[in-house]
Formats: sequence, structure tokens, C-alpha cells
Amino acid sequence: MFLIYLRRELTKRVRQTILISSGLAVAIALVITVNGVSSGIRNAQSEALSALYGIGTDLTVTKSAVGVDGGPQSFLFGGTQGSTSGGTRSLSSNRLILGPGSGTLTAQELSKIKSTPGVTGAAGVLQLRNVSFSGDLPTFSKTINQFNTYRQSQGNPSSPQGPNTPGSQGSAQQSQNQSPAPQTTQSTTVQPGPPIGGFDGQGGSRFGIDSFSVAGVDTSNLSIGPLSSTKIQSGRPLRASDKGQDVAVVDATYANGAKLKIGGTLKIGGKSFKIVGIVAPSSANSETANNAYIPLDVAQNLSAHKTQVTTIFVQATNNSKISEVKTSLTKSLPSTTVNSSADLASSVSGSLANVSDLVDNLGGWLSLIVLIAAFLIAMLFTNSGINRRTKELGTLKALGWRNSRIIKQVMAESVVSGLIGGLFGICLGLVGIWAFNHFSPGLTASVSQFGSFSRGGSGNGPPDFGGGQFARRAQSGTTTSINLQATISSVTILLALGLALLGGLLAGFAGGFRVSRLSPAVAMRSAQ
Amino acid sequence: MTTNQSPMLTDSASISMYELDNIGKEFPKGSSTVIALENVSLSIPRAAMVSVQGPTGGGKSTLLQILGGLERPTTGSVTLNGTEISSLRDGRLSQIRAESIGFVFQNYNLIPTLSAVENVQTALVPTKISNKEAQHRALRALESVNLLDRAHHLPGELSGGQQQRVAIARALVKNPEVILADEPTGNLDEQTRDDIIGLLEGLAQDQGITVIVVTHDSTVAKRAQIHLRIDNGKLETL
Ligand SMILES: Nc1ncnc2c1ncn2[C@@H]1O[C@H](COP(=O)(O)OP(=O)(O)OP(=O)(O)O)[C@@H](O)[C@H]1O
Ligand SMILES: [Mg+2]
Repeated sequence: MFLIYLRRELTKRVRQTILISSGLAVAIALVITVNGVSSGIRNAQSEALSALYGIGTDLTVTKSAVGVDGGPQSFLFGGTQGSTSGGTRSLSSNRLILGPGSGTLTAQELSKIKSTPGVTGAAGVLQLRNVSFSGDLPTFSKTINQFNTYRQSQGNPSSPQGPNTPGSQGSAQQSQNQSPAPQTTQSTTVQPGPPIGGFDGQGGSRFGIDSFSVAGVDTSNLSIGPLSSTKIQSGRPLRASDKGQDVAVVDATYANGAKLKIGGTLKIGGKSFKIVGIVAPSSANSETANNAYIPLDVAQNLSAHKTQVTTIFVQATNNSKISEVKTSLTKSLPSTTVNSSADLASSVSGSLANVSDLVDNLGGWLSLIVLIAAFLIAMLFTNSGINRRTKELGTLKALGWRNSRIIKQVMAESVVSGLIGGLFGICLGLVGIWAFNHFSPGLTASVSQFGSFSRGGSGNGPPDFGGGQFARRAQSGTTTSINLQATISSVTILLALGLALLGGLLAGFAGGFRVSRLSPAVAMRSAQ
Repeated sequence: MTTNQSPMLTDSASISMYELDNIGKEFPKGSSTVIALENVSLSIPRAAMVSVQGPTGGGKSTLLQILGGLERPTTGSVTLNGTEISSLRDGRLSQIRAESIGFVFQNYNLIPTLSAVENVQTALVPTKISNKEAQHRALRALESVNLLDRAHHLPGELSGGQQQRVAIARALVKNPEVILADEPTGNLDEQTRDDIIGLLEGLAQDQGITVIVVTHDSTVAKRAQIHLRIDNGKLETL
């Protein structure tokens, strides 16, 4: 009789059942979709991060600059350097340097990290910037006098900038390029402008500065570090036998822009490197973290940082060990900055982060509000449905039905309504996720994660300087385009179903309890 | 359940079905109270057919509700078959309603979503009878009110007289000691009215059930052995 009555109530009062169920269904579908999209966004975030950071990497260890290496850069040309013809001297220089604020870690520090409990592997990387200058300058002996005359005629005799700085104009441009504001490309090139005559009209100056990032990677351990999250597009990867060889793999995007090909050469630190491979990120469709990768020992020798590295990529035995390892590394290497991937997650910016925030905040609130509204409406409908049946339920009481039996019956009805709504909502939610993935909007993620490192770190100094090698990288955020895939989580589905059941249970109990408290005579007196 | 009283058992027959002692019922209405029943004392024997008449608002339905354990009197005591019921707790009262009392309500009060036979079965829900047995008994009850062919119809598909017969079947399916009927013939034509009164009469005569019928219809009242009249909450025995 219980089941017969239950089935009859649900099927004979179809409108009531549909009303309650569909309200819940819409709410649950919304929650599942919003949840799926937001977890899809979180996945995209971690994908974007791993693309730039290395899949196997759990922690990075860096150090802020203490020496002079990170100071302002200058090109020093001796008076006799270059070739002079007419009033113009041609100069060129190709240097491999650390960025400003970048400090180095020693081999001892690396071995100390390797022996820290909870660490399965560590690989040192020397991250450098190849800066090349080439151009023509006027012969300065001729121009100084004229320059001073010029200055005086401009009413500015006490110029702070001496004309005897040969690269003054160049430095100015260069320091512009070194500004910490994120740019969209990693390599910067100042295109040579049209030759401008000297002050006397004699001799022209024309020069360009080109820089790109170079990472010296440990060829004996490539599973950790920047190359771990890349895949070879053409050619071959670096390998252990490349130690000591002048070979390089280059980023696909950079190679495309700079017209580099396998078998061709790339000048790094004044030396020609043979290009053996082109790499691209294994997951996200973007650039890799560096423009070029060369064997670590070669990079160390060229940059005169023998046995030193700028970043140590650390892999922990498992995820739960990461914070433990982080703590012990911070303790044992107090002068360094230790960052975990979790610190990094907060650093994804761009439309991906905006959407993520939007979904997390607005979407979360929206789904919560809709959920609450749906439950209130469902409860209201359930309640009014029970109210309209007060006479009927009073009759059953008069026939000797116990209160508990009446509550049970009414609760079963609303629970089944909730269940129908829940299942329908799950189907609707899956359709929503499918539709989202089908018409998935393309999003971009600017991952200037290294700039944020200093903010997330120990807070020593302003963001521009605190992050060691990362500060330099902050100027060159990478834009990644991400294909968002909303995911279906069984936890969300179970939760939604649970909520629907709970809603039904509560609504049924509240209504049933209220009616069962009436005396049967009073209940039957109510209008049907 | 010893529901079928044998008229031969003089021992149990000597105890009245109902003993009402000085029943009063008041309903609060705003700041004042409505007195629905006042000083009602009454004894009803077994297997009797009783009619209750009186003007509207006199207190007939209220008396029936107190007899059936749907309301508690404000004062006085109600003894059913030797048990004082007005002071019983709700659960016990439900049990007595389920086992001993069959109601026939003025507006039939059938469950609109259940078929005729299912409606009859609802009266057996509080008992421990199996579903199959309950259905069997419900069909037999419908047969006794001559409605077997409509067993699987919904109330909305039945005429008023047919619905009233379903309601009677629901009251008698549990083999009650008492049937309390409030205006069971109110909306029926004469033929149907006579059918139903005959049915109730038969229950009292053949099965020893005490039948108490509230009615405005003197034709119905004439068929009873005991005639009660309630006016303004006061009982007059005719
Ligand atoms: N639950 C209640 N609350 C308030 N007053 C009530 C309640 N039940 C009955 N009354 C009042 O008690 C009095 C008797 O009502 P009752 O229903 O017993 O009359 P009745 O004789 O059955 O009338 P009718 O022939 O119209 O059915 C009436 O004045 C009625 O308004
Ligand atoms: Mg009445």
C-alpha cells in the first residue's frame, strides 16, 4: 500500500511532481555545470603552469643577487675596438649574462638539497640572457666638441649625462627593455633605426640590441626542470652525451620568429651553437619557458659561472611531502627562496584567471543562490501540496494511520520528487557540460608566474628584485591559449543528488509533521 | 480482534457499546468559547442502529467525533466497550480507531488518487494484514456494497452514490465494532439512499455492528431503533 499510494500520488499529481522536480533539476544542473567549468578552469591553470614550469617539479630554489653581476648592464668597448670608416665606427658584442637581481647557487647547495629527506631528485638550471649589441656609432673624438656646443646652445651646460659614454643612447634603450613591466614576448629586439648623422652631419649611428633567454640544463637529468614539460617537435632532445657540446634546442615559437632551423646555428655568448632540436610545450599551446636550451656545463663556462646555477628544480617523493621539504629547505638554506607549485598557482593571470575568479566568485554565488532558491521553491510547493491534502491526510488519521506513517508517506513522496529532480538535473548538467565543451570559448592565460614569486616569497624587497632569476623573467610573461574543458566530477554529482534528497527529506518531514500534529477532526475540517 | 459480537453472548452484550458520562465540548472562538455539547450522558447497546438528528450547528458531528475518538471532550468520559478512551494518548487512540471504528464521512473523503479497492485498503494499513490479504478483503467489502465491477475506478470516475458505497466498504472492511456515519445519504437520490440504509441496517442486524447515523432525513431515522436528537449542544432522547 505504501508503494501503491506513493506511485499514485506521484503519477496522478504529475503537475505537482514536475513542478517540484524541475525546479530542483535546473538548480542541480546549474551547480554541476558551474562546478564542471570551474574545475575545468583549475585544470587549465595547472596545465598552463606545468607547461612553463615542468611537470615533475614540486619546488624551486632560487637566490637573490648579492654580488655585482646583476647590476646595470653596459657594453664596454675599448677605443680601438671595431672598425672605423669615415666618421663611423662599427661595433658588435654578444654576451651571456645573468639578469638583474639574479643570484647563483653553488654545487654544495645542490648536493645539500639532493640529500634532504623527501627529495627524490634535484636538477640545477642556469638561466641566462644572451644580449647582443651591434651597430655603427659616430667617431666620438669628432663629435664631443660639437655636442658640447650643441648643449650650450640649448641652455643646458650641466648635462648629467656625459657625452663620453659611448653607448648612452643604447643604454637608455636597453634599460627600457629591462623594465619589469611584463611584455608579451621573451625576446626583445630594438630594430636599427635609419642612420642618423652626427651633429656635424658626419658619420651615422645605427645599432640594435637583441636579447633572448638561454637555459643551461642538466643533460644528465632532464626529467626535472624546464624541459620536462616539453615535447620535441622536430630534431632530437638534448641528451647526456651532449655534455660539453655546443648544441642547442630552441623553442618552436622563437625559432619561427628568428627563422632558426634544425642543423642551423645560433650565436650564444659569442659562440655558434648547432641547433639539434625544436621543442614545444607538451600540453598548452604556447611558448616554452626559455627561447633556447643548452647543456649546463657549456652555459656555465660561457657565462663564467662555473659550477653555479640560478635555479634548482626539486622533486619531492610525493605531494604530501612538498610542504615538509619546503620547510626543511628554507631552514637549511636560509639565503634562498623556496617556492612550491602552490605558490605558483596564484600567479596565473590573464583571461583565464579572470574567468576563474568570475566562476569561483560569481558562479559560486550564483549557483548557491539558485540552489537555495530552488530548494525554497521546492519546499514551498511541497508544503502547499501537503496543505492541499490536509483533509486527505486527516481522513487517513481518522482511519487509524499513525503520525509516523503519514510523515513517512509524505516524506517518501517528496524524496522521490527530489530524486527525480536530481537525476533529471544531473542529465541536464551533463548536457550543459557537453554544450560548454562543444562551444568551448578559447581563453588565454598570461603566465608571468615568476614575477609573482617574489610577492609570494619571503617579501624581501620590492617585487622587481625579490624573485631572483624570476624577476628577470617577469618582464617576459608568456601568453598561453588554453582550450577549456569542463569536467564532470562524481563528487559533485553525488553531492547534488544528496542535496536533492536532503531537500525532499526536509520538505516532506516539515509538511508531514505539521499536518500530523493536527487532530484528525480539525484536519478533515480543512477545505480540500 | 474480536469484532464480531455474537448476540448470544449475554455476558459481553450486557456491557454497553458506549457509555457517555456528562460530556461537554467547548471550542475556543476568539476571546469567547462555543459550547458544542453540554452535559451529554448516554448509553448505547451493541448491535443497535442509532439515529442522531437535530438542527444544523446543534452538535451532531461533534458528538460523532467524540464517539470516534477524533476529538477529546472538554469534560466527561467516553467508555467504548469498557475502555475509557477520552484520556488515551494519541497512539492508542489511533489503534482503537484502526481496529474498532469505521467512519463514513459526509463528503465520502476518498483519496482521489487511489482506486476504489485501494481506498478500501487504506483502512487496513494500520493493521498487520498482508497486502495480498488486504486486497482480497477489500474486494470482498466492495462486493458486499455491490460495487465489485468498479473496484479499479478512481473516485472521480464514480457517481456520488458509488463513492458513498466505497466509503462504506472502507468502514466495514476492518470488521469494526462501531460504524459512525455522518449524513451518509445527504446527497443521494431516494433509491440510492434506501440501498445504503438497507446496507447499514444489515450490518447492525447480521453482523452485530453498532451503527450510529447522523441524518436530517426522517425516512432514514425511522429505520433506527434508538433515536437521538441534539439541539444547541443538549441531548434529547426521543
Ligand atoms: N473545530 C471547531 N472549532 C470551532 N467551533 C467548532 C468546531 N467544531 C464545531 N464547532 C462548533 O460547534 C457547533 C456544533 O458543530 P457541529 O459540526 O457539531 O454541528 P452539526 O450538528 O454537525 O451541524 P450540521 O448539521 O450543520 O453538520 C457549531 O456551532 C460549530 O460552529
Ligand atoms: Mg455535521
